[in-house]
Amino acid sequence: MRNLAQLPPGARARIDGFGSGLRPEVGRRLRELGFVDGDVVRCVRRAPFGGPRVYAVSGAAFALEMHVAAHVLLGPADGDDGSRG
Amino acid sequence: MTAHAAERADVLLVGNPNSGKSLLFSRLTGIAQKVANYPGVTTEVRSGHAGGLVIHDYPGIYSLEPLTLDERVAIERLEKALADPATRAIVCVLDATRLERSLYLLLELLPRARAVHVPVIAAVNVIDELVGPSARLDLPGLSAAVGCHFIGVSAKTGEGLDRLRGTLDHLDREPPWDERCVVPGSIEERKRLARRLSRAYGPRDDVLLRSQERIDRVFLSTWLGLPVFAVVMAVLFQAIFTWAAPLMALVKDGVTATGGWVGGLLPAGLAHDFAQDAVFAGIGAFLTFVPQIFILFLIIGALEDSGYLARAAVLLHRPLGWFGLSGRSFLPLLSGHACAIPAMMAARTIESPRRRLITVMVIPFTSCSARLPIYALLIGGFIPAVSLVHGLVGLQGVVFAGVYVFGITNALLASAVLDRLTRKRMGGGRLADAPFVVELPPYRVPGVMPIVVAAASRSWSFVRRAAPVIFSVVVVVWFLGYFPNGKGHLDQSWLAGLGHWLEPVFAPMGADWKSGVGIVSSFVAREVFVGTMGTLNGLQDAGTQLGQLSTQLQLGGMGLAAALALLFFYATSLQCASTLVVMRKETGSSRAPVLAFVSMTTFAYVGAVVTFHLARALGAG
Repeated sequence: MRNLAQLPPGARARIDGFGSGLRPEVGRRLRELGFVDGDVVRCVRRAPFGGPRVYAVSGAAFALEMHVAAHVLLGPADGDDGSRG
Repeated sequence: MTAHAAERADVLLVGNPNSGKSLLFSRLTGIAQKVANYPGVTTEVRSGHAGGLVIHDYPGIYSLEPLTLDERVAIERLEKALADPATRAIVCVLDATRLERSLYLLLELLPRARAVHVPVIAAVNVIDELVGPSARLDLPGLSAAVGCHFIGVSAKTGEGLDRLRGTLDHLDREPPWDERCVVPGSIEERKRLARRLSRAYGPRDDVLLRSQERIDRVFLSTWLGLPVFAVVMAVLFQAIFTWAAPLMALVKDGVTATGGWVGGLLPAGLAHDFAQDAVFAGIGAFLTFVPQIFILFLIIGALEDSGYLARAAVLLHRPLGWFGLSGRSFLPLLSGHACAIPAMMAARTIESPRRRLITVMVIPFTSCSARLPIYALLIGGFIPAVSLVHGLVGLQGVVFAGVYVFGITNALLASAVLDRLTRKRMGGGRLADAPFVVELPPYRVPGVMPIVVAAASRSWSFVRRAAPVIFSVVVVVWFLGYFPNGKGHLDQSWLAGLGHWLEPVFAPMGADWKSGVGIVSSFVAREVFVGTMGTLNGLQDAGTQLGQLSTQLQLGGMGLAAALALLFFYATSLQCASTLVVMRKETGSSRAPVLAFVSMTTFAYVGAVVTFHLARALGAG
């Protein structure tokens, strides 16, 4: 199954749950910020030195460390469905 | 609302980080603000008056479930305030350009406020940025759908503020809750409701997100990101040294003039000597570097409000990670250059407890402004004023910059060591650490007045905390130097006795008994060193006469090697009682401050001894 860390800059995908390795309170915060099941997320860009990546979700941009992004699971490849993400 | 809670009327200002909440607070309350707790960017609750109301500005939060320590503190205080009968209303600040995300917090807050019958007013901020064809904001629609009062405001232009004030002045006219508006219980449902509301009543497009991405292409780019960061930092440090100079001169002159005036009023004798040498010399040496702290707070405020601080954290997250730190360690380490105390408080924003501990422990290595007068004294007096690279830079300036780089290097190396030491004990592995999640706010031009007001109130709060400690030390040193034989007989004083007794300890680093006394007295607060040395060398106001003092030191036999050793010592030792107290409070045990104190002081002493002998061997006097 694909995860958010594998999403290349510029691509969109639909979120499909969280990996079991993520601490519950971190998962909760990610959902509060907009990383909700079924929502579209877009990878905006990567930071230098393999640092955090920037993702756009629910009208805002967030930087996530790669090993956090790896716990956000993605559904099958998704084109632009007109959803703002 | 009960009638007997009538004396005080509190309004709580709540909102997401970067919602423009602080600017709105400044607009509502004017310049008279009070900072609760130590000043710092994200950890304080500020209070101010607006009409008959007291407005409390809470730190920005994303939800009522905390993830980091600063959020936990903020949310606990907020919940306590909610239960307080003096609380009359909550103003929840929303960002009109990020309505969906802002609405989430409002939806979470509403049921809590309803439970205690406190009305919530939604202030939709930054409406001035809603322009163009996609701009839309249906406030009546939102009010009807959510069941609370929505008011469009712009803290920047002042639009809508009168309506907000009017609403706050007549809270008794707020309509009762519309019971038909039910707020869902789960995160997903609240999130979906926020999206539905934002799509039905809010702006139609994310114009800001696109423009912000264009700017990020430069600031977060692989090739330009770091050079831009280096330029920003260079401007910051340049500003601290050059912009602060006229302000520092002003403070100096003011204190000297006041001291002279008061001294003239008093008859010669004990009272006169005390006022002149202890009170004004001591306060003067401390107050002269407050302008630098003010300018640092000013620039940090501007960087935060512009949105760049979050980018710097993202940019530096990986490089700092090599030393066991987080991107969020950047702000504390930067603030440490003003004062370690607010810097340690700022470390509360670091999600990982382990990285937070490491950051707090290494902050004292960064060259805080209390060290500045000492650097100025030693570098100005002992490093030759020759120019390098065809007059482009001076040797003194290079050494100055070198001491700062030395401090940062020490902090990073100490982090790497602590990272190794704590990895196993604190459950190790990067997964056990709380992760790095940072919002990238829109870029905005920061407002001048709010930043100035916030920097001023933060500086003032710092002065209020630090001044009593420094003043007490100066008085004790003066007392020991004045008695038993009075002014002009320092060499027979109790202080001289203490100095001679300690001389063998400091002799290996080339320090005489006067420097020894200076060093010992500065273990309470290092900023007293210059004042103490002034007292010991018979100068009334050493803080304002650095040049004269360094001449005195040279006449007293101090050479370049001893000056370099002192420089090393002050750059690396932990001489600040307040830092140790706050470190204990912030880490929850005495182990961190004891370890930091012992290791840093040992390192400083050994390093100073080595520096002295090395410099001597290389031919320095």
